[in-house]
Amino acid sequence: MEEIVFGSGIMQLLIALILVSTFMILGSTRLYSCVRAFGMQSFLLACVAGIVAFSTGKTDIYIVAFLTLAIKAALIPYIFIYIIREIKVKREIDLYVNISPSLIIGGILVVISYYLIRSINLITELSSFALSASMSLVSIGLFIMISRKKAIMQMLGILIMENGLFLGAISLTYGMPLLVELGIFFDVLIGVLIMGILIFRINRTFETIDTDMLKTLIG
Amino acid sequence: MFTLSSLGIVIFQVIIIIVLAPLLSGIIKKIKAFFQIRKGPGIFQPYYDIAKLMRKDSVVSENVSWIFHAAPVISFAAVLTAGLLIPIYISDMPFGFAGDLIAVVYLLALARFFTALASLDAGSSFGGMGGSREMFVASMVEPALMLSIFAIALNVGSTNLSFISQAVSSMGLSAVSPYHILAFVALFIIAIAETGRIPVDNPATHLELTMIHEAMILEYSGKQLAIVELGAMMKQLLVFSLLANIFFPWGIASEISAAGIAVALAVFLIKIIILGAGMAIVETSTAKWRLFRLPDLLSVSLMLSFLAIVSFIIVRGV
Amino acid sequence: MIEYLLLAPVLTGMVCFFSKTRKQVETASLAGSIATLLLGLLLVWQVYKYDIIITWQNALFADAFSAFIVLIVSIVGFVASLYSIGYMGHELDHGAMDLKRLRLYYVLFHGFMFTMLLVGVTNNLGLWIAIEMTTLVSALLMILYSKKSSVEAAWKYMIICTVGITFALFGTILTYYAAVNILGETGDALNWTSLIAVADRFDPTIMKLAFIFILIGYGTKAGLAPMHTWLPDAHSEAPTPVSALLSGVLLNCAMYGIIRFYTIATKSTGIDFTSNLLIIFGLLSLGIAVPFILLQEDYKRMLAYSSVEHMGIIALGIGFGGVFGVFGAILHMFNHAMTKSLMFFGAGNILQKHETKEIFNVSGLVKSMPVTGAMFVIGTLAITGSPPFSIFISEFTILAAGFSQGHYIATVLFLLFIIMIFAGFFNNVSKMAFGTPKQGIEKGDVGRLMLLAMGILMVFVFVLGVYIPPPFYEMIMKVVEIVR
Repeated sequence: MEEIVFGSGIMQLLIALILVSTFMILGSTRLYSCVRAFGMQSFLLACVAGIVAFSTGKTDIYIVAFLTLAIKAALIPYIFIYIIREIKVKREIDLYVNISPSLIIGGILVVISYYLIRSINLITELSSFALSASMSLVSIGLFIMISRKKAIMQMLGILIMENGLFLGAISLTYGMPLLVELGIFFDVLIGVLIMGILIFRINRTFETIDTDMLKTLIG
Repeated sequence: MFTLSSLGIVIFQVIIIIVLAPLLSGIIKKIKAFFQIRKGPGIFQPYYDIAKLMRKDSVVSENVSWIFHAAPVISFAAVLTAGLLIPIYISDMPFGFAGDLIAVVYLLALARFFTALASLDAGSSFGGMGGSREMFVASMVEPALMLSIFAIALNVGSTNLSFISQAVSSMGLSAVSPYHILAFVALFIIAIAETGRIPVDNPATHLELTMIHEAMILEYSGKQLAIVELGAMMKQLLVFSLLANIFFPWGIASEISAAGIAVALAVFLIKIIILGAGMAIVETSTAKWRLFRLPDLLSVSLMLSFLAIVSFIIVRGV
Repeated sequence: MIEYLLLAPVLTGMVCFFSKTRKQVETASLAGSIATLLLGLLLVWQVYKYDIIITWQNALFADAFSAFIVLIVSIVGFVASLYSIGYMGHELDHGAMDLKRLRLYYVLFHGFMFTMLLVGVTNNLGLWIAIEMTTLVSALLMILYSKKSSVEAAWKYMIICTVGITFALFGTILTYYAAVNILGETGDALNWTSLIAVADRFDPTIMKLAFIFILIGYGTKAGLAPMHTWLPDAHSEAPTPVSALLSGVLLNCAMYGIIRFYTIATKSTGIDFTSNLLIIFGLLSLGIAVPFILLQEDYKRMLAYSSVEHMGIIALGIGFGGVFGVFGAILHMFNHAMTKSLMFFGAGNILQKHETKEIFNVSGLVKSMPVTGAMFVIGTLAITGSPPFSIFISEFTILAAGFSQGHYIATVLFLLFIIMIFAGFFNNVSKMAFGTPKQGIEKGDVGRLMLLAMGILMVFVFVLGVYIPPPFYEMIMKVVEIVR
């Protein structure tokens, strides 16, 4: 069953597009386009979940797909845009690592993820694409967090990692039990809200959201 | 192996390339004008321009060497030779044995090399600037082009263009796979750079701070300019037909028959018009980038080809 | 039963939210935490009687280990709420916060209690959700003051812990995957009880990977080096009662997560793999704490690094294994919770009096604040593991386990590190405690409630040092049975 779902052409296409959207975030210097690409990624993820739900016929996964669509593809990008607007942040993101090296590192991370997944020999070759994509999302999300200066981008990085895990979970086990999945969604949403509050607070006390300023507590 | 019919194919191909190239240019201009809500020149304007240039005398600087005179012809010939390797209306190219995708890349590079050399030859400051910028862009375009081509070559297991075209068209819709699409997008970005369009270069400007291609050919006039311009248009057509007939070769004729060729030509025209419209949309919806941001764009292309190769390897589990 | 325990802090939080005056808020909070404590003790007693309690369609459960965590949470929670009244009242009097903030503080405080209790009683791998919730609530508690440093600390805490916890989620997913392969796709595949029963049939490769991710993930939250970087910031910048909860209880909750997975993973991968990982991380935490404690200039940060050290010791204890090792580790969780809370309360008293966190701006504590000063010095002796205090017993047990299980190098290093930490700690604290008081510091202690809170903790520190009551001993032995 798994092989049929994850080996199908449309699924591969969706997963490739998820990777592309991740690289769009890596390759963009504008906050809005990063948020848009994230929204796209979440939307594609919801599509993946939708297809899995359709082919397995499980109501649980339909609910999860719908929640992904509503929370990750709509609500969270909206929260991002709200924050960007409210704190009137400069629209360009500042980088520690420039775009081109970022993209190259991203590519290297994809390869490493693939070899990691292969080396542990988790599952048949067909869904290993989904799994390596999920690992790449996690590692690229982490890379975005450490290579971008804006606090908002760190928040985005965490969400990309979360998306990666979601993809991993759904391709490994068709997602966790519904109760746990709901809890995770709840935590993600609350987490985004609280990080939003923190960003507002950072902006108010430091008059910038560059994390460069957050370097006083050492030792 | 060289029969009369293959000679016919080659001659017809040459005619098509020379005839269609200015038309494509005109069509793209027209579509751009449409998006910018202008009337714009007619689609045959490039023909009139070239015809007019052909009638004029060349004005040449006293300081130039033979390179300046030879460069337009060499570039033109290199591009045309590349044209013989790229399937346009028929997939089985007679010159297929002589070279593959890599040969095309090098022929285009040869054309570029001589144009850049000629721009330096005149010794004007603009020419040198244009030449250095062109080579700067080329240094990133060529690896990206190579990589995206490898991505597609890996898929069918050959770098021979005729073979790729036949293989993909026989695969039908199942050829559309992640790596196929990724490589296409990568090559599309390269096409933007190769045809000197926004956001890489602006074909419609003579503003000295931004131009690349126009700066290189600033010293040319009259007949020589006509050849250079025609060469550039041909290159554009070739890049487009690479995109069209490698990634979406459906409709291309596989053997010689009048009906097949007519259909193939019509389909080809539609494909390149659609691609041209896509290009025009990109051009009207973006602003020209600073020269030093270009590596970012081209590394996106590089990364996409890279992803294409990686995902091919992952999906096929090589 | 478990529902009532969880309900108590939620209700208390709501009552606090609707309270009008300071008096009301404080009464509500204290009453609520007493109720939580009593319910917690009741739960412990029930578990003692029935061994295992499962309710709510398997979603909530309590065995001896859960009860042990609940015990720590409710005791320290009660003491911290007692201390809060004095400490936060002082802040209110001195204009450091207004009534609105105070109310918010108590609401969040009980919310925090709720999430930590939830960690203890979640039946399944959904433990992840509870642990993430603790991060969210405590990050809000940290930005109660709009100081630059506390905002910075809260951001670091939030970001680093969320990333860490994301890794833990990956580990959880892998564990679930391993379980589904054996159990099939039932909701049961996440329950501790059903997991333990079949854990020996899990795919070892996957479980190895899962355990690494879990260890990194929850290890971040537990402050194991090298993922500890957020910990000194967060623990020193939070309001003092919260610092005590963070150091004393929350770290234990994360440790609880690691130990639960350790139990499952060990069954599948064999004991060497998991134990060695724990020993490596434990030693690393101890080693990293040494220079930072020796050269520390901020006494709250010093305590925070000491928490890194003690989490390392607990990891070592589990890693050494055997009855002794696990027993020592579990006992150490309790002892550390009590002693570290005592130390943080002492630090809070000093902070309110001196309004500085720098060690060299504080001196002559024994003279200027006799009670706090004395308890702070005793606490220092206790936390560094000198006899006859409680931590000595647990550290000694772990040491003995290390030698008896043949981990000689690790044990010798462990001994070396704690001796160095003892020296560093004592050097710093003696600068603060003895000598002449700084100018402008009046003689006199802080409020009585705060001292009472410390006094309660002192009892645990003293008593457990010389005598472990048989029921408590039996409880720990039950936990050891579960873990091993």
